[in-house]
Amino acid sequence: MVMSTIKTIPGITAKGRMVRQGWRRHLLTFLMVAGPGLIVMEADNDAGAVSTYVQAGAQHGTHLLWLLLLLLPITYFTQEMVARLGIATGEGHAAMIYSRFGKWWGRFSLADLLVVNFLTLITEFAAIDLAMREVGIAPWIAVPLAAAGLIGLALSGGYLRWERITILLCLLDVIWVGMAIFVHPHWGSVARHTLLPSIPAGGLTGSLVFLIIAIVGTTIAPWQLFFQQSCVAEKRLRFSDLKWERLDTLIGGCFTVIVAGCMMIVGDMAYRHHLPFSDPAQFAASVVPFAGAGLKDLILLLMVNASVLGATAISLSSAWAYGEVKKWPHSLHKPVREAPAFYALYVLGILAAAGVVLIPRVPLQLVIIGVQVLAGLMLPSAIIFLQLLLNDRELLGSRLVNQSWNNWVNWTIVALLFTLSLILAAQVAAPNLFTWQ
Amino acid sequence: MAKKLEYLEVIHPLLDAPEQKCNAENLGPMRMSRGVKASLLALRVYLISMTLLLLYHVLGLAGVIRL
Repeated sequence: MVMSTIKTIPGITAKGRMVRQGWRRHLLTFLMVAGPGLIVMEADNDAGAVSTYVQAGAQHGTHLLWLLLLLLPITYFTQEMVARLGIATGEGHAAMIYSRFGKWWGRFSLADLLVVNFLTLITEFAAIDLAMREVGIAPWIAVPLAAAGLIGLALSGGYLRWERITILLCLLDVIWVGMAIFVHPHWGSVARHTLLPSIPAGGLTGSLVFLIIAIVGTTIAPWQLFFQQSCVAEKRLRFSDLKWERLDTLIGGCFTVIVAGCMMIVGDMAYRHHLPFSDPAQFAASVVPFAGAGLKDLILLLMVNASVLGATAISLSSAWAYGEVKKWPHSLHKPVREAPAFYALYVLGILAAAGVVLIPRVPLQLVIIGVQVLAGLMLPSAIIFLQLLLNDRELLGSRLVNQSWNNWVNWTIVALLFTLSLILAAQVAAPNLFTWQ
Repeated sequence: MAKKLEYLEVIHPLLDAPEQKCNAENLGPMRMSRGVKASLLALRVYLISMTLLLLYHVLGLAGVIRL
């Protein structure tokens, strides 16, 4: 005979799902909580990331795979802090900086975020333009269509629908794994270069240093800090959800690094066949004789997918951050009439970026440099604020503040990023400063 | 012997009752030691000077000013 008892939680009247104790309960809770971690990590594999990782593979084969493995703990520890802060306060990152560090830092962080995000948004649309041109679709059709799709995604009816569609787009990136297997890499080299750090043949040249910095900058971007904290607040995650959100972030990080590695392995095909690389769309066209037209179409499709994912996450991080600081209603739960400024900012950002891409002879190279440098400048300082906030006992109490090992890990990350940021800024401000090779 | 199964209600975060969060509203600006204040001031100077330097560089690249 089987008897069952139901435990009810006092004070809760909302509809829940009844499940047996044990793994089913854990799995269901995880599935309900998961989302922000996976999305923030995978959306970071945006158009710029596809370009950077494929370029790394095309120019240096699988030699830089170890870098991705090294970046996994860095990106996880950074985003875990953001998730913890979001769950503890129920507020976004911009609002936190504003209230705890004052107006100057609040405005500076917000302005920097909005500028970097807008420039990044332009690069997402530029990638859509590039990919669609390769399949013969004119920019004046492809770019407005993508913009309309992105606007529709946010206006489609609430946070949960947006989250589910975005997770599906994230999971589409599994195709990169299939493509990496399809191109028949030398698995021995893949394993060796993943586990043993090595410098490609030719040594440490200026362009290699720049590429390494670009890979680091692509894997950890400032908008991610703002996005995940706002997303966690938007989803109203509870203290008890913290362990599941950590798992969500860890799974997202692993998935993102695996996908990034597969992009490098696909790019490695150009390295093995001595093909030139200028951008992913050109690369896709150049591999047709070796891998067929199907692979080309898949690369172009995933390039568009990466741009759409990046664009929706980046636009939302801007709209959330601005709404938080201005104390406007800023939620996907609200209909447009209740949060008009929030939706207007999201829509305007997308329309303006799409419009810029349609301008003939727009200096895209200047935009890309702007994104890299401003992001490189902003990231270390943003992580310093994150670190200070996570040591704020007055705000978080002793239960949620960083432990001393957290602080050691995070200050090491800050020091590393600061050094890379300085090298990047110096390289861009004075291109002849590093004249090796 | 009767086998006893326990059921629990799993509630989606969006459907759950709101919980008390750590509120920064009434705390005001963070209390910082002199060292932290000095570091943030140095960071501010660094960020302003780097932003101006890059603005100058980008304007030069765009052909607005002569480098």
